[in-house]
Amino acid sequence: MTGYVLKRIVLVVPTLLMVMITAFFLSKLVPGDAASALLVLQGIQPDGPNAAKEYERNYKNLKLDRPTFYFSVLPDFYPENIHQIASATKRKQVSDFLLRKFNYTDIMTYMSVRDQCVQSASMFKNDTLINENVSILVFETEPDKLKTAIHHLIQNSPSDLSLKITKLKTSLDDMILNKSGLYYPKIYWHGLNNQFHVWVKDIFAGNFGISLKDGRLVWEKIASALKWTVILILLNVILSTLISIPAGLYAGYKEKGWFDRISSFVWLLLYSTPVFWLASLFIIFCTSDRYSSFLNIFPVPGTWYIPEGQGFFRTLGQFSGQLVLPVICLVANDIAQLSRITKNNAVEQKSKLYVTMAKAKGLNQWQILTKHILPNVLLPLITIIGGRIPAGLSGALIIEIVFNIPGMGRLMYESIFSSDWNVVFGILLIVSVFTILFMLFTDIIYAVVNPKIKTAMS
Amino acid sequence: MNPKKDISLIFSKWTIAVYLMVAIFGSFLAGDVPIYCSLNGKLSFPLLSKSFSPSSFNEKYDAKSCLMPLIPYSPLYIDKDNPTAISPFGPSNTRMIKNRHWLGTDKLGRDVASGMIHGTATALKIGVISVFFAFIVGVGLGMMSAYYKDDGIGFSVPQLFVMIMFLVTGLYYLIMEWLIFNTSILYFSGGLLILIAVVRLLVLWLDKWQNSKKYHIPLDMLLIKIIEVRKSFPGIFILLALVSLFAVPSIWNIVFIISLLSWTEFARFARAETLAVKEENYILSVKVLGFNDLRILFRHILPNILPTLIVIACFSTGGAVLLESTLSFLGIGLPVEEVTWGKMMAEGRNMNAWWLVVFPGLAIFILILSLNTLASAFQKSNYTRLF
Repeated sequence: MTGYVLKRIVLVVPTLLMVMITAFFLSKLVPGDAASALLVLQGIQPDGPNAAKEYERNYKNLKLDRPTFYFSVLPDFYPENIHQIASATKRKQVSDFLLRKFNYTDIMTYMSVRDQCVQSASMFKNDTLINENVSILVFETEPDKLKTAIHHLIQNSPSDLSLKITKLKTSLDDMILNKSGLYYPKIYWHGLNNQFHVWVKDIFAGNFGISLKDGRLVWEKIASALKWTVILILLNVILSTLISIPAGLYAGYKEKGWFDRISSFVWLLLYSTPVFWLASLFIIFCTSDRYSSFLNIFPVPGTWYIPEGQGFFRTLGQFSGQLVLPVICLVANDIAQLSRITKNNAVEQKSKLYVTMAKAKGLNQWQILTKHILPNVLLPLITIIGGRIPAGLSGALIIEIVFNIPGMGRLMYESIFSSDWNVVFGILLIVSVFTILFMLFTDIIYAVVNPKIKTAMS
Repeated sequence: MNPKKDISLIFSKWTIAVYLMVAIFGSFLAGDVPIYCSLNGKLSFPLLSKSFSPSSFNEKYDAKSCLMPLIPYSPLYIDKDNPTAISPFGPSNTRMIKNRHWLGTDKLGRDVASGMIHGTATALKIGVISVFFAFIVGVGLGMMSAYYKDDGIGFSVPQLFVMIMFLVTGLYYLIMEWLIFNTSILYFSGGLLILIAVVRLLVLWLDKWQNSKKYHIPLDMLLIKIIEVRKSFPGIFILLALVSLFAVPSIWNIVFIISLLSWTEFARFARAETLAVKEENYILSVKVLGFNDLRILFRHILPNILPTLIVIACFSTGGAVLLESTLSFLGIGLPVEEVTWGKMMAEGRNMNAWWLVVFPGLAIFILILSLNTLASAFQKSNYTRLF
C-alpha cells in the first residue's frame, strides 16, 4: 500500500514539472513587457527624461536580463543571451537585425559607430534634413531606408560629420555583406542563473511577484479571491452530491419507473443547458420587478464592497443571500452528470452475479441493497466526485463573472483585460497544481478504501 | 427500441440538419442583399455574385422588383429608426410588416433574428472544424500508441543515430525558418514531408542490421504523460490564458486553441478502444496473414472503434460550441465584427433585455441538446444506426 502511494506521489513530479514549464513559457509569450508595465505603475511617463534609465532598472530588478531557460539552441550568428541588452529600443533593434540574419558582432560594431554619429550630429539640431535622417538611423532597421538616409547625410552634412557617416556606411555594408545564408545550430548551456530557475525558486518560496495593475502582491490578491471560489465549490459539491446520489440510486433501483423516466429527461435538459445562460435568465427574470414582480425572489448581484478588516464570517453572513443563485446554477449543472453515473452504476451492479447469490442466500431486498449493492455503487463515485472539484473551478469562473463574486475566476478575467500577466499565470499555476494534488489525493483515497485494490497490493 | 420510432432521435437529427442548413444558407434567410433582382428587365442574382455592395443598391436597382431574404437586415445593419433595444412584442418603428424586427433589436438597433442566423454559422464553423482537427490528431495518436505500446516501434543503433541527426537538425531548420525568419508555411509543410520521406527511406535502408539490439520508443508512456499534463489544466482557465496570448482576435485562433485542448480526449478514447479491439481474434489473424500495420490500423481497427469515437465527436462538438459561446459571452478572443450568440447574450444580460438572452441561449441549448441526444441514442442502439 505504502509502495503504491509513494509510486503515485513520485509520478506526480514530472507532471508538475511539465505544468510549470508550460505555464512559464506561456507567460513568456504574452504581448507586452513587464518592465514597462511597471513603469506605468510607478507613474513615470514613457517618454519622460528618466524613463529609459528607470526601465533598465526595472528590467534588471525583474531579472529579465537573464537567459530564459537552462539551455538554448540558437543559430550561430545569434548572441548567447539577447536579454542581456537592458535598453528596450536597442534590444528591439538588435533582434530586428538578427531576424535579417545579420551577424551579432557586425550588428554591435554598427550600433556603436551609429551611436557616435548620432552624438556628433546632435550639434546640428537646427538642420531639419540632418535631424530627419538621423532619426531614421536611430529608429529604423530596414537596410534600404538606412542606406538612403546615410546617402542623404553624406551629401548634406559638414565634412567632419560626413567622415564619420562614411565610416558608418562601411560598417553597414559590412553587416549586409556578412549576412549568413546558411547557419548551424549552436547549443548554449546557461546554468542555474536563468529566468525559469529563478521563477520556480520564487514560487516555491511563495513569491508570485507583484500585480502589474495595482502593485499588490499577487499571492495576497489570489488568497483573498480563493476563499470565495472554495466556498462556491464546496457548497456546489456537497449539495449536488446530496441531491444526485439518492436520486440516482432510486432511479437505478426502480429502473424504467416513473421517477427514472422523469429524472433522466430533466437531467438531459440540465446537462445541455449552458451555465451562463441559466445564470443570465435567473438574473433577468428573478432579481428584478421588470418582467414580473412575483418572480422577484432573489437579491440583485451586488458590488461586493467588503470593508477593510471585516471578519470573513461576518462578510459571509452579509453576502450569503447573494450566494444562493450562483450555487443553484452550479448545482443544476452538476447534478445531471453525477446522478446519471450513479444510476448507471446501480443498474450495472444490480445484474451482477453476487446479487443473485445474495438472493439465493435468502437475504431480503433491503439487506441486498444496503450491504451488497450500495458499497459497490458508491466506491467509483469517490473518483467522480473528486474529479468534480477541480472541474468545478471552470464552472465557478463563469458564475463568478456573471454574479460579480470576487473569486479567482473573476480575478483572472479582470487581470486578462488589464494585461496583468503575473496574476493570470499565477492563478493558472495555482489552479493546475491544485488539480494535480487533488487527483493524487482522490486516487490514494480510492486505493485505501477499495478492498479490491488493497488485496491486489498486498 | 426501433430507432425509426425514437422521437428524440428524429428530433435531434432533424434539428441538426436545420442548423446546418441555416449555417450554410444563412445569407438567403437574413441579409440586406436581394436574392434576385431585375435590372432594366434583366434578371440578376446579387447574392450569388460577390461584387454587390449595398450602397450601390438604391441607385441601380428598383427595390420593388427585388426578392429580399426573409429578414431584410444584415446582422451588422444599424436600424436608426429603432435605435435602442426594442422588444419583439413591443411596437416597432418599421414601414412594412415584412421589415418588422421579429425577435427585437439590440442596443444599437441591430436585428436579433438576423444576428442569430449568422451566429449559427460562426458557432458551427468553430465547433465542427475544431472537432475535425482534434479528431484526426487525437485518434491517430491514440490508435498508434495503443497499437504499438511502449515496445512496438524499435530502432537499431545506426537507425536511431540517423533519425536523430536528420530529424533534430531538419526540424530545427524548418521551425527556425518558419517561426523566427517568417518563411511561408508552405515551405514548412513541404520541407516536413520531404524530411519524413528521407528519414523513412534511410531507416528502411538501414534495416539490414536485423539482429542488432533494438531500442524502443515509449510512445504509449509519452501520450499518457501528455494527456495527464493536459488534464491538470482546468478547461476554461487554460483556454482564457491561451486566447489572451493572441494580440489580434480571430476565429482561427479559437479553432486552433480548441483543437489543441480537445485532441487529448479523442486520444484517450481511441487508445482505450484500440486496446480492447487489438486482442480480438480477427486482428490476430490478419497479423498472421502478414498485412502491414497501416492496413490493420485503418481497415480493421478503425472501423470497429469508429462508432464510439463518433459519439465522443458529437459530445465534443457540443462542447466546442459551448466554449465558443462562453468565450464570446465573456468578450474575449473573437473579433468585434463577428456576430455570435454569446455576444448577444452578454449584451442582453447587461441591459436586462430578455429577448437578447432567451433566443440566442435557446439556440445554443437546442443545438447542444440535440447533439447530446443524437450521441446517446446512437450509443443506446449499440452503434447500429446513426441516421
